[in-house]
Amino acid sequence: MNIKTLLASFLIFIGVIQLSAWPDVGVDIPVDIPGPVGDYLAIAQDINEALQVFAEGYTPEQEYYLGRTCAANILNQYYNKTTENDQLSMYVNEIGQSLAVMSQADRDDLFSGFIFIVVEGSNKNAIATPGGFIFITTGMIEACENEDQIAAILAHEIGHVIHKDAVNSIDSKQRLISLIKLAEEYGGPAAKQKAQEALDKLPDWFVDEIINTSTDEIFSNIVDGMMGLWENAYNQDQEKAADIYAVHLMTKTGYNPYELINIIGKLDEGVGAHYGAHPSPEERANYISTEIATLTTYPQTLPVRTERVVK
Amino acid sequence: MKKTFAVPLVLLLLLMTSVLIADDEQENTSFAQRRQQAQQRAEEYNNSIYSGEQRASDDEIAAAIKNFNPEVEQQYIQDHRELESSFDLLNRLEKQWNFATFDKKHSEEWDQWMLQGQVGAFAPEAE
Repeated sequence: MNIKTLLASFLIFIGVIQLSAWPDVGVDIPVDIPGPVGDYLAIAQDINEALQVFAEGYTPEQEYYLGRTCAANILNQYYNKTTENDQLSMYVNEIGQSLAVMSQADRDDLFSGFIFIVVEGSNKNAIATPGGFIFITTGMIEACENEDQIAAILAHEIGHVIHKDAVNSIDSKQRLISLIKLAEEYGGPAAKQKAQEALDKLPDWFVDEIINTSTDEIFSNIVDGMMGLWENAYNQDQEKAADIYAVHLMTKTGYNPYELINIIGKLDEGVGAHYGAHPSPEERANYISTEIATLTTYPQTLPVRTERVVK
Repeated sequence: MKKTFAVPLVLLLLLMTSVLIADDEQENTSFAQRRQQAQQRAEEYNNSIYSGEQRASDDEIAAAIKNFNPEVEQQYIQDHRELESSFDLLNRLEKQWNFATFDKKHSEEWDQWMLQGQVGAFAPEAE
């Protein structure tokens, strides 16, 4: 086997692996590579260019709509019972909303604000969907020793919403198709023009594929993809960014950011826990401590906030 | 000798008391300002969560939640009948816990905790 064959095999191998991902391509790619790898790279670049037409991504309404459907799926698949303890729901929402107020400076375009939903479940877990739906289990709350630890969990999940991690994780091909279809079918004249502009950048076979796929089908694919995301987890960079964000949001809101370290070791593994891609608890503790060390000061855990959680 | 010390001692006590009262008032003022600022931020948040210039009324919010993009959602529910009850539950939860009505809904207990500086955003040590 000569060097050219080896190189071609390597390129094809990489191409086949990447075919399932359709990544965003941030640089110009030489499109004169022959064979399936070249075809793949060419269409990846076309997708990337067409996505630039929709640089702002989903509108807050579309994000909310996707998140709401994911939330219904989460209720159906994982947590079919919300808590009947209204006092607990009130308390969690009060903590969450005080964090949400402070997160407003980072993102103020959520269509319907944040909503915090306490679900019955012995596992220790929390999940955020696009648009600001945040789920936390009763098992997670019971594991918290003080209010600051509940705030830490909620702040981490708020970070995922602020960073749009779920929608950014949607496969770029699916994202493009959905943006074009939504603009075409529900947008005004300007949105329709954008859709056409994006279609003009794509090869005919791809345009046919878009036309022949119904909006419902595309929507279902995206929701299925996002549901898979919670089973297979966000990537480690997104998890780390959410932790770092939580440190600053907690500090701004008056909660002790060190409580984030104290609670992360108690999270569960397993389906729906999106634990798999989290960095290890030790690694998280290290970079969180490093981030806290950059703060000139940070709030302490007030004894009363421990007492009322225990109560 | 006793009188010599008694007068300055009383004056000193009076001075210390007035300083403590002044500190307390300053802390209360500072806390009131902080609370006012936080409430203002909450109001700004409420005003900004909808794309329109004016904040929507509760009825409009409920209508927006119910009617948003109904064609796709209704089609999705038709294709996923098992989710119908989950969507109904979400409708109820959104109405109950939507932040737009937070100011009206937070508990008296929470209000007391805010006043006592026990709640994060309103605690004296918050940035």
